[in-house]
Amino acid sequence: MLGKLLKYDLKASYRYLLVCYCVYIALTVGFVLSVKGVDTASGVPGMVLAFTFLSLTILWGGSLIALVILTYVLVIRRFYVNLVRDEGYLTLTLPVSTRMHMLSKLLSGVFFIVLTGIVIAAGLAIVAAGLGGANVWEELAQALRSFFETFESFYGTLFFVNGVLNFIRGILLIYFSICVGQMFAKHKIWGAIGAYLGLLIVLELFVFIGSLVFGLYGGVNALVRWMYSGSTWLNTIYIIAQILIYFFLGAWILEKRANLE
Amino acid sequence: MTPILECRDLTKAYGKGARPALNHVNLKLNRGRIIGLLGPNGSGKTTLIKLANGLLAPTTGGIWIDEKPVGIETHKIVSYLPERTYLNMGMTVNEAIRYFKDFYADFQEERAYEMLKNLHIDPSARLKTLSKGTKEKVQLILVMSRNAQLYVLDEPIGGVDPAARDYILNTIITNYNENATVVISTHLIADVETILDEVVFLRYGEVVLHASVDAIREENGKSVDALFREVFRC
Repeated sequence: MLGKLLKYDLKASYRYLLVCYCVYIALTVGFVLSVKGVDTASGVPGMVLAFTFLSLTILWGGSLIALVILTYVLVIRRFYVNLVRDEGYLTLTLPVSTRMHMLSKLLSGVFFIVLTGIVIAAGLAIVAAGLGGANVWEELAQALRSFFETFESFYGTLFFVNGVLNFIRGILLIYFSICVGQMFAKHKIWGAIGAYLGLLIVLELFVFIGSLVFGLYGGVNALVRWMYSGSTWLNTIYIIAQILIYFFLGAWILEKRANLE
Repeated sequence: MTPILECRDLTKAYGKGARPALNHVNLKLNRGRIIGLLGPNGSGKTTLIKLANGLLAPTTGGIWIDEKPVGIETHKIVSYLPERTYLNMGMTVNEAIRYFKDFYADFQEERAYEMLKNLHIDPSARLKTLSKGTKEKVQLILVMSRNAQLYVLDEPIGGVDPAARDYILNTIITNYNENATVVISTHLIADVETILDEVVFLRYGEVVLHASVDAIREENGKSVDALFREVFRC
């Protein structure tokens, strides 16, 4: 059943994202070509060139930010519309467990966000190739080497793993907040936003208190100690615990406390 | 024979202090019957239907289908038509049929295409391009193309023209398995009366009558529609 759910979750959003990706890549190529054109333009006042360059940069940067926001909006909207709005009348009456629904939404959400990351990286590579100096590829290779070198250290790897887990936790926190919000009799969206912000504040407080308890609060040195101390494990456990709570409690709410009024 | 649906002391209240939408309902529905779930607005019909499909949680008591609590196992045997459009509007009719086929083992694809043909609905049409009435017909076709044990239809003829109503009612009585039960919630009693075996009257969340249509006619000398108008006179 997971495969079937995933198929429909991916099909429901891919068209919109495909259009967004095409627009972003087209704007990126347009940006590179325009900036090159501005660079080689002769007889144009410097002020005009600077203004044109700035406008193009803002436009391209805006498209990049818009792509990230749109991806998140589509991922969140799919969960909301498909499970707790009108489509939920069908989705929640399918002979499929709510845990399977959560997993499908999580996997499709991760897939689309990672795909958007890859498309953005491709756009940045186009800009680097088009506008960078001769040694741009060498610099990029060096950056990648540095990135992979972090895996040579155990804590570097753990730091990366925590980043991935944090990313998953972030998506599940949104899903969980929507599940909590749907339990409200009225103002379900505000309920979800309130649940999300409330949880964020409580979690930040936990981290703050935890940092104080373990003596890790206080600037860059603390961050270094955090990275290279055994406390990173605590962080891993803390994130995994949240992932499990959001996943299973969210699925339980959809199953036992559904409220499609 | 075990009932297909049983409510035991079922209560549902939408918030503290609010009058319960369903108030300590005890009800048993048997197999092989077409049952009208009737009552004025706000009587609790849709709430009962949503509880039977796990879309709401009871405040107290419970609801059992084929002696099982509402969940995955009951979703396999209940075919539910809500009073709203629940399909992804970006789908075509063909895709909606594939969706049902993918998830319901009892879905009969040929039956769905035959009904679409009879109602002159283009299977390649995208749902968002169809009229409200046609969308409702598509949903009803999908629901009635399952070999379910319990069909729960919330206002199945409310949004369609009178000409299509006869076809839809005919579809309902000719497409369900004889051991299955069909529960129809509607205001259009005169239209459905001829196909009903039993009726359940709900008022303010309570069952005020559960009787066979024949018994109502014999004992009251009235049609169900006439009795309804009398019981629920404002």
